[in-house]
Amino acid sequence: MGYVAVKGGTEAVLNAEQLVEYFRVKGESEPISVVQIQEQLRLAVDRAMGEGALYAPELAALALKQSEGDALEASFLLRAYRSTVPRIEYSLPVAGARMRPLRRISATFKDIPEGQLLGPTRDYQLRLLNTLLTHESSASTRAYLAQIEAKITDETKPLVNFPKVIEKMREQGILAEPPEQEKADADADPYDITRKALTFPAPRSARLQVLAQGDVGGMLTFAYSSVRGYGDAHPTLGELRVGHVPVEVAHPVTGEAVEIGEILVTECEMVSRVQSADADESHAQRVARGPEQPKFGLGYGFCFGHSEVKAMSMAIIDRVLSAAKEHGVHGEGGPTANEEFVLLHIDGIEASGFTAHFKLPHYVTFQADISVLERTRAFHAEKFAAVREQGQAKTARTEPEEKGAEHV
Amino acid sequence: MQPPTEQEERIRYSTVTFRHLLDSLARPGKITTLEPPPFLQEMPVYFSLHEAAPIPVNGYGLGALLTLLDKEVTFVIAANGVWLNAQDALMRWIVTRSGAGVGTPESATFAFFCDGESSGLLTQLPRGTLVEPELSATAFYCVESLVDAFGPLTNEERSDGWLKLELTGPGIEDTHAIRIAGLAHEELQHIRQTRQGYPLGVDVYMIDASGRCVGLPRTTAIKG
Repeated sequence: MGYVAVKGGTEAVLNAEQLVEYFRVKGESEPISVVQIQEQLRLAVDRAMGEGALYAPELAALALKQSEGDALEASFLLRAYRSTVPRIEYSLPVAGARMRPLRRISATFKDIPEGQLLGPTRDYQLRLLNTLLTHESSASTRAYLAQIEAKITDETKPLVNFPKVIEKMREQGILAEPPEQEKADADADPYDITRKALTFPAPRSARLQVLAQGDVGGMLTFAYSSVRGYGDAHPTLGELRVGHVPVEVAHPVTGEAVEIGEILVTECEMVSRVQSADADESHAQRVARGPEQPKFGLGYGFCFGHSEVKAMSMAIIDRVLSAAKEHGVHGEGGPTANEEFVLLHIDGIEASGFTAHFKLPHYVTFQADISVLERTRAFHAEKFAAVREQGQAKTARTEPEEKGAEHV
Repeated sequence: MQPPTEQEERIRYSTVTFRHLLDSLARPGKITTLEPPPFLQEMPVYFSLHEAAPIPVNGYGLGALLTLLDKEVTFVIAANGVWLNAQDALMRWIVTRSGAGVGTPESATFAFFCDGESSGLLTQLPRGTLVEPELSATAFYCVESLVDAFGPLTNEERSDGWLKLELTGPGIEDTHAIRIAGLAHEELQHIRQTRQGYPLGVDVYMIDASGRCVGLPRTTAIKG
């Protein structure tokens, strides 16, 4: 047989590649431009950038065009491209408080410094199909834009940097300080999951990186399960903000911070009550620990582009994992509290890649499976035959005795 | 269409060169011809023990090295069997253009030998660990000439310093033979020494003066 299993079919493969291109254009409609995707399928572009872990709106739009809108495929294309790009410089830490916000809300307090800013959101719309969109034309969009522009007057209040809601909570002393280990981790250089394989327990910087490039569907599932019943998270939205943050690098000669541009991001802080005392803790232990006020713990979410569900899910998962770590109860509070389980399965590209590989020829593996199956069957058949033979022999021997016993 | 800008030309060059380097490791012994790098006019030099004047560094080799360098990795360079100091003009030339750091021989990701003689420095390079064999170094040798070998070397060729290498291993059907000029004979021993405990080892490239390149990954057994 030789290598028959893995050779051949080249022509079919090449034809399949051509055919998928053909299916993309065979309708003969006007080709969709990359700019159109970038502007009109904003959220799909943002998702691809987030999961591809590369901030490049134009390339993300191109990836979506190439993959015919398949979110996983588009992010895979971006992630693959990212691996070829040389790393020139690391950015300095980006501060969410310096965001030029488009939207900023809090569910913890109605009155927050600088107020709530709804911004562009579908949160208050009815889920009704807008059939008018089927007749949308350049003229109708221009007319709509003119209407909006007319509303912008000189008195329109310029946007300011909004202080963080959680800072207010910190001032009030109701927010728990992160544990010592986490503080130490934060001072060290962040773990780089693109260079080092993940090991457990993972530092928080690794966790946040994995989550930031995680698959939004998977993250939503984990976060939802922990708030719905397979866990003990009772989060409240401290703050959710969407906007542009400046990105800075240190000047290679002077070392001063230089702004190189800005990126659109979504940032979220979830707060939930921290169990101040372990249920299993004895009274003596509690006394020894001293008087500690119950406080709120923080979960943090951050992702490229406008992706509220993802940032919120990330913040919930972060909080659940932090709580599990603090109390040393991995996985006892539902699957989301198991760091290894969550972080190893949350990456859409890894998960879809592994699943897709089952489509590759497994002829040899499967032949091996069949031969194992046959050997197992033969073994069982032999064993069964032996048992039956023994059983028959035993029945033949014991039957008269039993009859004899009855007579006694 | 507009002619490519200098930046675009550099990107194209490094993409094409990366592909060639990848191919060279996938098919050990296959002679690939690298493109002349876009910075050939401003070539840095190094000093040799054998020549009075400074010698320009092999530009093809330097181009290949620069293709693989970025801020994440470190490199070391040796000439005349001695590691160059971080303050050496050649080292600074590379740091400025790549952003890569100058490493120590024991930890460097890439090593570059300006001539075909490491005098055993190759054996100082990291070979990776059993858990992370990828933490090994990749070494470049700049040699004089590389050609496919047909038949044995003549005595004249031998006295001219040609070596014939017979290669076997993954990526090679049966055996493949190449001839190299400008590589010290002891280097073969050093290379073999670094690849005794697979998966540990140092991957090696040979690049000659006219840009011909051969990859000798750690899986390749070398007879010569």
